[in-house]
Amino acid sequence: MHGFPDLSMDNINPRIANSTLTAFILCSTFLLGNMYFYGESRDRPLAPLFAMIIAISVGFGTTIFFIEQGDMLLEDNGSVIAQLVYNISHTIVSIFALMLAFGIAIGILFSSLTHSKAKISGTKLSEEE
Amino acid sequence: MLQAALLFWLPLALIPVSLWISQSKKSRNGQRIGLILLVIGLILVLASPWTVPDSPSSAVGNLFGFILGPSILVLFGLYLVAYSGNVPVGRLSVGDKYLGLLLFFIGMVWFSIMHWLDLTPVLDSGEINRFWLIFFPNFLISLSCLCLSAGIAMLVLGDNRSAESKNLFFMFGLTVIFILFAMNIDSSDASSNDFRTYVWLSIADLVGIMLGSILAIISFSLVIYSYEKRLPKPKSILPPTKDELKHSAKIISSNIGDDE
Repeated sequence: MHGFPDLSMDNINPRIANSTLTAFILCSTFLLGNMYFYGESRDRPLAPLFAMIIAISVGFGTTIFFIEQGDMLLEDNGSVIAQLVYNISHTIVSIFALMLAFGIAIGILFSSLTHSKAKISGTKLSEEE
Repeated sequence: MLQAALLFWLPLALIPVSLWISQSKKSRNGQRIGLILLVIGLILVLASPWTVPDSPSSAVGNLFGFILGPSILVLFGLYLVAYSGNVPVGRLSVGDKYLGLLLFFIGMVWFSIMHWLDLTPVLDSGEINRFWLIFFPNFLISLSCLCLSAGIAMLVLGDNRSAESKNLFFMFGLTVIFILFAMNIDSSDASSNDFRTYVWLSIADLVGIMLGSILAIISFSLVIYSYEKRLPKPKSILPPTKDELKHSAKIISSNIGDDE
């Protein structure tokens, strides 16, 4: 049985950092849509939306800043834009894998529950009544 | 680049936008428009290997095209199995249960064949789609972790649920065995060494996604908290007069049938 492949923390750390920053940008962007409907319910739709756009901009700014530092976050891609686009594609694929796994786990859980034997028998119910 | 933006990234962005539009309560046709935009976005993303073949981003569309079939089979199969059990509304027949099990089994075998045999997603250039090597380890690790967590949660939080949790532990065991095999035996398109590398990178990916999502939720909560704090207090009104109280008492008594 093999253990760790030829993989050092120099490969793993940029992946965690890129993944964290991109997941932050993508999740914030998705929450931005929800923020609009929250603002709509408060009759001032633009105020919280503006704050969330600032949060996303901070995410983008931080990502670009760290990728521009060179080896730190730049993986096998040649430019900042290429790395940024690759990060977004990579994280979308990972999130899809996570969501599919979540759907399957919930499906198995729900199927197990609906096919289990009833915990309260009919006779016991009528006795209680 | 502009072509990729118009034919891949814009349709991809349409998918979450369509979900937001379908949530809007102000627009009457929101759900309908949202559904139409969702379908258009999905079709254009899946067609990206043909519409923008030169863009590296179209590899994502290529991957989604490959995994769409088994994903639908697995999820639809589980839906049929779940709703053929003891559900109060919309119960399906026993035949649907066996059909669901068959679809689930075919879907999972399809995924396995995509790893071990020649169904692995490959690009037009003949090289293996690198997003497949990201997707599959992520999927396997997430599935094993989620099944284990759900099984333990069922035992700890549920009352006498050991029989039901066995299915989740079985799935966890099966997934772990698959990962161990794939980490040690070469498949037709990917070596076990490559797969091992991608398994460790996937763990790094999942840790990063969790951290990023938690940070996004914290910033979302902070924005709502600070916004709610700034909202002016609601205007206080004068207490009801004697006449208003009498009028209210009259309405209440007429509704509850009190003669006093």
